[in-house]
Amino acid sequence: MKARWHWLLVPPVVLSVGLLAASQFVFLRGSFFRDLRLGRFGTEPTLYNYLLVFTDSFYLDSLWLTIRLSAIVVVLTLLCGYPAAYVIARLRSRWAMLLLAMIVVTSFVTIVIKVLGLVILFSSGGMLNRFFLGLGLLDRPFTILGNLTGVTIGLMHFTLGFAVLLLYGVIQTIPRSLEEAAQIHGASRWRVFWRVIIPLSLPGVIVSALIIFNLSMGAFTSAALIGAGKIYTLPVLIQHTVILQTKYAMGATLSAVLLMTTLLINLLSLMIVARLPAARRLTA
Amino acid sequence: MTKLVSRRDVLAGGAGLAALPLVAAPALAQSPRVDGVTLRIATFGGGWEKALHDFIGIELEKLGGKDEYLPSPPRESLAKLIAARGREAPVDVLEMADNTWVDTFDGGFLQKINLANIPNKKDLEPHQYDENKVASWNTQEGLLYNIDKFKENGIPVPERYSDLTHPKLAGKISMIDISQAGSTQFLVGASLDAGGSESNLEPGLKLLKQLNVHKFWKLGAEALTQMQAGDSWVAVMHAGFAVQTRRNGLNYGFVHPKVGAKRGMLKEGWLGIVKGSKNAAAAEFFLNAYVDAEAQEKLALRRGIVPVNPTARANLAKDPLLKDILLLSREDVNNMVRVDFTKLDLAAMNDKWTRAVAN
Amino acid sequence: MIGPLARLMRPVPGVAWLAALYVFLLAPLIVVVGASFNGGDRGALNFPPTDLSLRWYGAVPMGLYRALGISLGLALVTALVGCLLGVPAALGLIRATFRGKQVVGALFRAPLQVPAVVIGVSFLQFYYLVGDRTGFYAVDNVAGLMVAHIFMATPYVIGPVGAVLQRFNPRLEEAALILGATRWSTFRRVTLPLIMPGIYAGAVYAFMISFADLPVSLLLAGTNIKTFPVEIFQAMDYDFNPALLAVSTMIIIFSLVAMVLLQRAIGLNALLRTGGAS
Repeated sequence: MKARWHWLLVPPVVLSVGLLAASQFVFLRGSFFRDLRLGRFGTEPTLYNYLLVFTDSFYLDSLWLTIRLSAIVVVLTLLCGYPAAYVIARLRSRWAMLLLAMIVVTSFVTIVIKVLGLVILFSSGGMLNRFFLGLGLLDRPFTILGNLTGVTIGLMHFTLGFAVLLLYGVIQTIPRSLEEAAQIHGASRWRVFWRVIIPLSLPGVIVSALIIFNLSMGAFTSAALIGAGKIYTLPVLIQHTVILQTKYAMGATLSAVLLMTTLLINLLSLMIVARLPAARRLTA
Repeated sequence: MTKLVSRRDVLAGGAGLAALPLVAAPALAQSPRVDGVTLRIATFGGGWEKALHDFIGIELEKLGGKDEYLPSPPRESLAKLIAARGREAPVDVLEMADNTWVDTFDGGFLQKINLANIPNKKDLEPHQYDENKVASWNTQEGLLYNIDKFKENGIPVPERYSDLTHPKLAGKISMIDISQAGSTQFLVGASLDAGGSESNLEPGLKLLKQLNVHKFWKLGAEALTQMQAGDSWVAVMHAGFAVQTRRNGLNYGFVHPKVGAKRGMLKEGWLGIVKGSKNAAAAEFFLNAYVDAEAQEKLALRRGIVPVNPTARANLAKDPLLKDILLLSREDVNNMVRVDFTKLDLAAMNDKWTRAVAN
Repeated sequence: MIGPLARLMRPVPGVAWLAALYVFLLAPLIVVVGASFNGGDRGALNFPPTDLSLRWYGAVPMGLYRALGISLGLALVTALVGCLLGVPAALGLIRATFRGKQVVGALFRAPLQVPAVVIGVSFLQFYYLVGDRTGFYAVDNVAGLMVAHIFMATPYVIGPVGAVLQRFNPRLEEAALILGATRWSTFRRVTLPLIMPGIYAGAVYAFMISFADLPVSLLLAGTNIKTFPVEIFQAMDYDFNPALLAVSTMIIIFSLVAMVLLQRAIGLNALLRTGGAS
């Protein structure tokens, strides 16, 4: 009976992993040959491109920046998104539906348009800056375009909606009666939150974290537009290398490094999570 | 190295060929029918392809043909050609900015144009066509600035790129991003003006690092919004944007930067026919119709480019606003800097720029 | 014991948090919506609007509506196929026990970290190779773009459905089976409603991935297939047209209505009222 579940995996594995393997094999193979520009490669296999990447601090800095950025986005998205998802999941009102719908809709406006809104919001003479400068909370205008804060915020505009929707789905499976029972037994709300809700929704938190991390590692459009030509995450560099420099072998090498690093971080973090006491209780 | 030489030969050859067509032209007074032919053109989207259809494709339809547009900017078109290498041509006509023309030619993706079928070349300068490419449009790159802000702060109107170093402009400059084709004109112009050249871009890169850039713009609308919000007072853009903003009642000025003894930076669009195209005759007809004076004038009015056809330019000069902002006379245009892409290593330029500005 | 004041104040921190989050998410949209009602000339975005008008709503180019239609269709198919692939994948991934499960899970997420331009270029190359063998070239047609979008979107379904499934007690299904229900009706009556919030989250974001994609569309969209982000991007490259803000505002309003209707249709509101599984 148990074996039957395996079969469900066959079509998605064939399609999804198959497409991944096939397309990436075609593209990443180029990383093992010399770059002759314009999509042309040398004939001798070589690790020269990898040597170039790993001995060039510019590429390594960019990789490190991308990892850091993605980690920050994960932490902030969960910190902001989890409580929100919890509140919505526990809201006994019709408003909850509208709130969920609104969060989705914020992701519907293309970043190409949204960036204009951000330019206005954070302009030096704009409302936000005038307000905070007036209160004396800032001593000079604050901008988010062309810095890491901005790219983080830009990514969060996409990840937050996804996280809230996902976590809402998980939290609403936790019966309210459980919380009520714990409270009747004298546990404070915070205690219930920490000891009951969080551990029970841990699978959702882990999945959200991984998905947000991975998509931030690969994000291009928002990073490119809000990075304002000053922030070069690895996907932006890869786009330059392939499209503007037509150095396919180099682009493939950077892409392989990005793919492998992210996979490695995924597996490592899952191994670490598996050792957490809360996760143990869950699987026990 | 051999590649560079061949490309230079090609450019030189173009001038020599200029005399030839005079003989062939009369035979072409009547255009051949192109019944049943669907011509595929890779070009920009966002309304540009509609303009091409309205002013040029429509002529093809009159002869029984059809025009279809593949919406992709030049660099993406190049990526498509690279993927399709050695196979059937995915499109017939390719629209390219100057920085993409070089790579497309080097990649061997273009086929020879029969210049006898481009009678309208009689209007063009010899350097505007050869058997590999025909000029399509120009933009004039320079500095768009907020006149009021400059006055208020007592900043003199800039004359050359190096004037952007004025201390009061620190943090108020919207610089073109390297992903935009016009970034080459800025970097080459700044380099030439400071003693460099297409093969020595160090002076331009030095200026770039020296400037306190507020933001590198990737979308025209974004740069304009930023100027409107007062975050930047000057933007490195092309004159078409100045025409637009002035028509919209904004008090913006435009500077064609001095570069040595020359004035202004020309960015050139090119048309090419893709190697293996089976519709060469229709493609050549399209190229010819593209450079026609009337089509050029209409394109310029709708989409803000500068015509490559001098008759069209002369007509535009009747508009006082256009005359004020654009360089339209033949002498003025010929005194602008045309970047010599045969001496430029684009990939290295891109790499150096990125490293210079990355935070 | 909770005093009346404390009881009144109880939801305040949560609601304040929620309000802050919505301000953060909605602020740029409010600027876009507000500026779309500014009737003044083009030039640049004006906010707050100085002369209120619906002028730009009438000035949306037809091409933009066509592009919107293409993008909507593409996104719907992507979401649908994404679910058809993602739901079984999540079921299999959570329910089956086998070695290397984590690796398969990580591979399912891998499309997320492949930069879009690499997806575009590698799928182009891949399609040409397939075409050389089979004679069918998936370049320059909508099928190729669709497959790439489905590839990018499926991880967004697998994640949430898997997360909800992990919380869900398989004994409910066993009980239904013991009571004589068929496998299919057990799935439809028991499992599906319970994982619906996960499917909803996944489908909506699968839709979004396709609807918002720019770099892949630039490389894979065929002749005359202009997707909405491509049109917007290329239009904004040339100038600023307030009609783009108007059309974005329409999208905001229509998608809000659509989302509320969808939530009703899939019974998310019923879940909310009962407080979910109990």
